[in-house]
Amino acid sequence: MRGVEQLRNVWRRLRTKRPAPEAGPVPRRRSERIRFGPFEADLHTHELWRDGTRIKLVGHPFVVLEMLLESAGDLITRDELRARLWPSDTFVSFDHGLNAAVNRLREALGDSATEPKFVETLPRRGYRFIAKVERRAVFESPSRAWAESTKPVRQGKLARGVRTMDGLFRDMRFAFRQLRQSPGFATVAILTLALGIGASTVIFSIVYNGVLYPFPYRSAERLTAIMVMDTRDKGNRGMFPLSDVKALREGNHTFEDILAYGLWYVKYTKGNTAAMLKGVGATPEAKDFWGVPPLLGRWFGQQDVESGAPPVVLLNYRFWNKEFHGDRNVLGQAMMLNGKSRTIVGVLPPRFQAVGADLYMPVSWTRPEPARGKFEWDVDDPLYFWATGILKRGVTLETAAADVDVIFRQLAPKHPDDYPKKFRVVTKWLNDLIMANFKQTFFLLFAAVGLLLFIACSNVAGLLLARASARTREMALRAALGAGRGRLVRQLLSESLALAMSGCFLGCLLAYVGMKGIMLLPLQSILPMESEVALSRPVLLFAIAISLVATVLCGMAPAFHIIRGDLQRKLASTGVNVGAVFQHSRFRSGLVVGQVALSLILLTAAGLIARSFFALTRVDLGVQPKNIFTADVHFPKGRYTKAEEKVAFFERLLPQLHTIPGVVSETELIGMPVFFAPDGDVTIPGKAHKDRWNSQVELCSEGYFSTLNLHLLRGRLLTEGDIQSARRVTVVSENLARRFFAGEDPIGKQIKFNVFDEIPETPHDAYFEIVGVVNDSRGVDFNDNYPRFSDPAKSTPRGYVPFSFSGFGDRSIAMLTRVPPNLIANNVRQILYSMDPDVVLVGSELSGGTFAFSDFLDAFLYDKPRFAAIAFAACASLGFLLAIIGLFSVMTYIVSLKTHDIGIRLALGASREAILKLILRKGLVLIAIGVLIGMAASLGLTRFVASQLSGVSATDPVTLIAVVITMTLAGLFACFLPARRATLVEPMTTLRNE
Amino acid sequence: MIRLNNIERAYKTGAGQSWVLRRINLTIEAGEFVTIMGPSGAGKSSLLNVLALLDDAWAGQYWFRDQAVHSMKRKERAELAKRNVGMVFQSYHLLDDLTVRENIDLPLSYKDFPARQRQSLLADALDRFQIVAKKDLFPSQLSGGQQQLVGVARAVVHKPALLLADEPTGNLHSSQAKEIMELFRELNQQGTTIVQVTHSEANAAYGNRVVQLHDGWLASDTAVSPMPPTAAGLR
Repeated sequence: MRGVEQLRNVWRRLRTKRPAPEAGPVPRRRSERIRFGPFEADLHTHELWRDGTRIKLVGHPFVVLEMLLESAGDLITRDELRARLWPSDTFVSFDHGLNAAVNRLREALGDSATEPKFVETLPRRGYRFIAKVERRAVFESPSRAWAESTKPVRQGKLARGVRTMDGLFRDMRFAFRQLRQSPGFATVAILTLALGIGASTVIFSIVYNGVLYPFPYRSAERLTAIMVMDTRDKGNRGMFPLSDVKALREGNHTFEDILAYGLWYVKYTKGNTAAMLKGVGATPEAKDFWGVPPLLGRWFGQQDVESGAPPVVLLNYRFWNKEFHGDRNVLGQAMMLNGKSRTIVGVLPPRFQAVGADLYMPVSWTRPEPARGKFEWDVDDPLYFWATGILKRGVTLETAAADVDVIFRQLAPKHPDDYPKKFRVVTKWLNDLIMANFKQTFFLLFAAVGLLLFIACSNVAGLLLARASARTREMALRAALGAGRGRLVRQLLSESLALAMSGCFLGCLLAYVGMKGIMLLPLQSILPMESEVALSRPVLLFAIAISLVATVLCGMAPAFHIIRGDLQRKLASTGVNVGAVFQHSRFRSGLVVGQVALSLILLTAAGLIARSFFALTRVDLGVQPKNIFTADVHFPKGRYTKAEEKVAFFERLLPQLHTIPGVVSETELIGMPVFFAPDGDVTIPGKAHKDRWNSQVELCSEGYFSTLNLHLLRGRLLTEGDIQSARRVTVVSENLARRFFAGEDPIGKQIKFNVFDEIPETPHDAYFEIVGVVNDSRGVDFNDNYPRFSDPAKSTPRGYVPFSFSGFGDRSIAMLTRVPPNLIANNVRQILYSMDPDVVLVGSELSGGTFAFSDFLDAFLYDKPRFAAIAFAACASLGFLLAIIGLFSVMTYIVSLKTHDIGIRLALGASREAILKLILRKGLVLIAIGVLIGMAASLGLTRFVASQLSGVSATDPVTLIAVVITMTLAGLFACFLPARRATLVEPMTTLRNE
Repeated sequence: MIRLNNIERAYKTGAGQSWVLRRINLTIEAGEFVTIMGPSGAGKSSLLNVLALLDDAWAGQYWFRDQAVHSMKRKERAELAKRNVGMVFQSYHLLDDLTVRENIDLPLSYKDFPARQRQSLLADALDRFQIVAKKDLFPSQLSGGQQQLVGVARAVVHKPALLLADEPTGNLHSSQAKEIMELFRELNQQGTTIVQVTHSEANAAYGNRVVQLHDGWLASDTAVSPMPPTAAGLR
């Protein structure tokens, strides 16, 4: 206490000596010089002279001298010296360091410990300056004589500038040294900042480039898809006959322009191989509509669709690289496409990916309407076209819909087959249509990362405030010793800047690495193909700016204290009486509660999304999806159209497929297993029904059931004989039997699949006899283009009939293999080519042309939820980690503040366990408040997450409980280490400082 | 009650060891009021810490009521201290965020007293020190003398046999100091053995024996005749 008294005196002395700031033209005091014996010390410039000769004394020894001189004659305790020389969170051998500093000081003064002339040792207590001192203030002109004689030769504006720079440099160096001296604090703070910046930049970048601004097209933000929605089943149709799009283009008042473009498969013949390519046919103004200049050559235009103009084609960048290896001399070369030679006139740039096609070809608005059949693909142009418009500025989607609705009402009666009976016009932003429900995932992720950045910043804020509290006294002492407020602010500023800069640097590095890492995820199947995901500079700058501001503001906290403050009280708070700085701890506790709550929200969301993903992957498809090879078989135009021809073809093909090593069983089928098959109403004699009894019908061979592992429940499966003689028999799914033959045995009953009546090449009014029942397989529902597995109770009934029944359309094959399916694709191609070079094998478009059913399932169903699950899990784990670190640091801080209290309690007989419990209880209170707030918020926010979930409720108790338990346990663990440290407090040590 | 035999205590320093207690031999009988005096750094507080069983790192023999403290484990020593020793500190060492009542209750809460007995002991102490009216105040709302009053109340609430006081009046005005010392005398007369460390001759006069320490050595041990209360009051 005596020490405090002395400091109070110092403060009083300094205060009374200081001239008033508005002292007018009278000389400004620059610093104070203290004379003792033959020595003179300048406390401002840290210089020491002996009889006018400068003596080198820097660093700690000078500081010791400074403190001794300030309170000459009084005891300066070792603790006071220690507090001044080393920040409270440094761990060095104080005693040794202090002794060394004093010895160096004595050496410089020519003093000795045994016969002190200047510095007397008071054993174990401290030091006292015993010589007589004489103080004099040094003033700037008019009378500078004395100062001139001793002043080093730096003067004027330049000199002041140099000195300021010098000071700044010293501040920065000191700041970095401070960081180095508390490596724990520095590491945590820098890592926290870096993680926050890195993670938020990566995710913001994806959202920015992939969701907000994915398209390189002119007027990308006004691209609008025009569709009609069947009011009966809410299904959208977005493709129309070309003449109808033309009518829309000419009749509307709300679009700047409307482009017609359609997709169709084009057979590309090169040498003696054939491949199926995806072609886009677009009307001639495509160039201006998209507004993207070609990489090489030119766009097509009106001149290319005039009669007699040579046929032309533009290449997609990826296709150009794959097929022509990026050869720039490709212009002028010819490609055989659908038996027609087309000249390559241009290559489009990387980001032009409309519809993900390989080729782009012009289609004239006045093209004669081709003859149409439902399953005819092999034509020169697409049959149907998307109608995409550029909405005029200021026009709403609704206005546009109303505008084109009038035109559609006139068109519909002319093409009754192409329009639903009752429909409504729907206009949607192209971007929304492509991202569909997944856009929301990204916005949620956006929010999640925002929370993460917030957690990171508040964590660093908490760390800095803790340091601030610990340093309040240091700052007060510095101020009492004459450091101006500006000087203090500058020092703290440079310290926070050093921290923030290190964090930002590492953050940029993490963002860069994270971006590379995220590229490894299958973003292609998630984001629009046009999007180019790259580190977004504005986003990075934004994250850095936020972190800088947070860091610097919190780093300045001790300076605010000083400016606000009542120095004396702060000086008096020797660390024993910590009431003055305690409000910080409350604020910090608030920060930690916030962090726990936010991270709980993140964890809950991530947990729900992950559980939803696992639920999705665990859904029983009813078939066995592993090691299934599937592919479409495209037949050349006009051939294999009759049932007999198809039967003959597959009867040759299937046995050959069976000889491929690793193939277990094989079958013909109509599309992707489970997911695509013609569907329609059914007719059952004696069972009249008004509503639609929807059922899919699969045309397959006898191997279907064993290949996909469907098991027979009743009756028999299809046999080779059924296929060969095209018997009108069918195997049905269990739910078909249950739904349409409730309580009856369906075996032997007749059923008609009405969808066959709509296909011209297929026998009409065909009744099939039900011979067997197999287990259900589950399809998917499309909810806003976001596929979900249908409710098992609602999954569509299916019938399986011999494929020899009809010869319509293209067909597919599926094989169960013992090897990875994609490995046998070449064997299949070779067999097909040997049978008929014109028949082409096509893999799944969604998975980029691969042949494994599981690839298709990934691309079709799992990739997006998996991405969401991974991204949320990453965000949540980072947030969790940061919150735990925050909790740990605040508890450590509380323990350090309470060391004295704990010492008293131990001295009064508290057991170590009681102390452990006391601290853990404090931590638990913080955790519990955070968890409660987080839970409440999570439950309040469920509706945002609900759209991302399937198979799990947004208030899933298992997830909530698991999250709460995880958070609480981890939190307690984070509290345990500081609490354990609290139990090691030595009461004797803490109580001795009197 | 207490027998110290060749007690030594050293602190490790950078170079080697520095001794704070050297071969201390001291016997304190039950009911004594002993004052430890000596210049700063003589080892007074260190000796008090040894007596209080707060310190573990001494060498020598320490008998407390014929129990060999030196052969006890840390836990046993803590248990012994908990039951028999009360401590008063120069800077009171009250917990800032507990009320007067809670501060006094603290030792009881650590000593497994049944709730009812705890209540009565607490009420007793509040009455005896006449601080009932202040029981819900926080330490910061009290004067120094009042705070030390609470400190003493806390030290004796569980009726310890030995009361140790380290400069109990160091932070107090002389009138407040006198009150505290009167209180000590009263406690002593009621049978509590007291050992105090002080610089003040006036305080020493309340005791019946003065032990002088110098550089860790026991320099002198003299009996003083207790002053009559009136005489102490005149000082």
